Amino acid sequence: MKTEDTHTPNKLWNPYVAGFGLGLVLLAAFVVMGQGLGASGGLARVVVQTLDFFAHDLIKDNGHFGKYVADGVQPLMNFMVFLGLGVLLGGFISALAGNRLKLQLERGPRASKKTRIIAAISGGILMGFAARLAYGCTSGQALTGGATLAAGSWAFMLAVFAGGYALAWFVRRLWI
Amino acid sequence: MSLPFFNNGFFGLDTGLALTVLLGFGFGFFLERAGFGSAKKLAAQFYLYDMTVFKVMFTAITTAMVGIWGLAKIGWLNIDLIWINPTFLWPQIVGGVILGLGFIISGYCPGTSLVASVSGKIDGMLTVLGVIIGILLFGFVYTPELAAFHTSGSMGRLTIAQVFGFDPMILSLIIAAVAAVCFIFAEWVEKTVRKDTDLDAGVVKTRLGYVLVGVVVVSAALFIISPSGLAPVKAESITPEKFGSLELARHIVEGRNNIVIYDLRQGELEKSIPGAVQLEAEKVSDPTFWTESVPVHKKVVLVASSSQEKVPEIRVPDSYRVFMLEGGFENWENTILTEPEKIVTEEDKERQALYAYFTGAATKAAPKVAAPAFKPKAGGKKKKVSGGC
Repeated sequence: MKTEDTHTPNKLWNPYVAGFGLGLVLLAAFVVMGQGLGASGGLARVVVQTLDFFAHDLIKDNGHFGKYVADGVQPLMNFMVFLGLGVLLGGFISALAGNRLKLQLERGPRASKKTRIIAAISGGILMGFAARLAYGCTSGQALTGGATLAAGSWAFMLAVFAGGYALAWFVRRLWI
Repeated sequence: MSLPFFNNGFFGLDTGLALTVLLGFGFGFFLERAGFGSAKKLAAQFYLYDMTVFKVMFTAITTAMVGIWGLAKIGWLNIDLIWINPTFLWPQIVGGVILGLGFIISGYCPGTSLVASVSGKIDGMLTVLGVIIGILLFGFVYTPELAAFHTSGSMGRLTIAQVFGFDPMILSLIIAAVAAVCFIFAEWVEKTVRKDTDLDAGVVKTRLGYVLVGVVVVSAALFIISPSGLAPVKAESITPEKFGSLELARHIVEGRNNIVIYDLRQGELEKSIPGAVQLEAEKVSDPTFWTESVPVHKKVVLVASSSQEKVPEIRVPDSYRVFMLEGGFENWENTILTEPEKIVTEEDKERQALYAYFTGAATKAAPKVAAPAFKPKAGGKKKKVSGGC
């Protein structure tokens, strides 16, 4: 019976193998449903639906969100939302099976808890905004658009790496 | 093989959504298997001591890419029916940079933050919270100016294969080969950066790496946005060429799916052209309508009621081929939906056959039409899915 060993996580998969598996899932998405994967889109719809429940007028007149509720359309009856549901399940099962299920606030060796919390939220805000602006995030644009050779998606992908590397040196205290 | 399955009507929406959950399961599963439920592992990419993000991403992209374009090449997958992200160059570049900033600050991207959350990472959950706030922020500062920027640099369903003038399958193989070389380089970078156990020395090595990576990324970005690479196109007002009714009828009967027919007549239509989609006439003046709804490689035929009817200014981005049905629906009715008086010429015979096809009517004197020049195809339900985020 494992005692102090209970949270020794299992070994991760070889990145090329995991990547191949991910690639097959992405391919399957196109072959089965005619479209790729995504994350921010599903999340956005859940957000819109939730807000719509409390403030329908605000949403329906909004220049950006209005289209999700126009003509009685249900924001949640969409591939992206069901994908997101699956992502949560798949991630959970994998973490469970890999002994990586643990409530924790992961942070770099030199970052305080408070710093980490602020960084997580503010980084998220930037990404939420950016994902709407760019019509997707790394899943919907870089992975999906990358596979279909979409020009704007490839530009997006390069821009993400550029932005990340450009700032990395300045925020290194968060991670190393 | 008629792929994709859903768009070719193999099953309905309910089954489709259920299958989508399975796809999502695979997605989340493999992300977590790769270790992407950990911010430290993800952020490490940007300090070059763990190149897993690069390895996983590009293996995945390459696998799917070769699969998609390979299947398309052998005719199993109908590219017209799959979702290719439309290009809005400026917001995608700016959005990409901002996402990159958010990525290195939070340690996640939106998708991995979900995976992290379900593995118990509080920082992952906080990132999700941030993403939600960011999404709301965007929607509530969506001024006309932001909206204009949001739709700028519109190039439609453009692929880098088209930009560089390559066959997509060839390009996919080239990219796969380049990726393989990059993976070897990545292994070397990882090993080199990790060699020093002294953290500060590791950081020094990383600085050199940044310069290298920065040079590559900046040159690639410059190449892409330079005039020789990808010139931003503006929408311009065009006068469409004429498209004849007979030719349109032939296209439809032969089952050629490389045209899109928009009927600009308003209200309830008693009769219409099969496959035509009714459209508010003003939409043709909106360039974003074109880029969001019309594949750039298809011919578009606009149908007015007659040649007298005034059609709004047609403003399209470059590369679109737009035609007006000559004489409008009036002409279609007279040419196709009206039985020819006499059957003398070849054209009369063709009109006779077309009349029968489009009205399902028994003809006067069932003439022997010598092997028709067209073969009607059994129509399957072809759905174009609106995907993306």
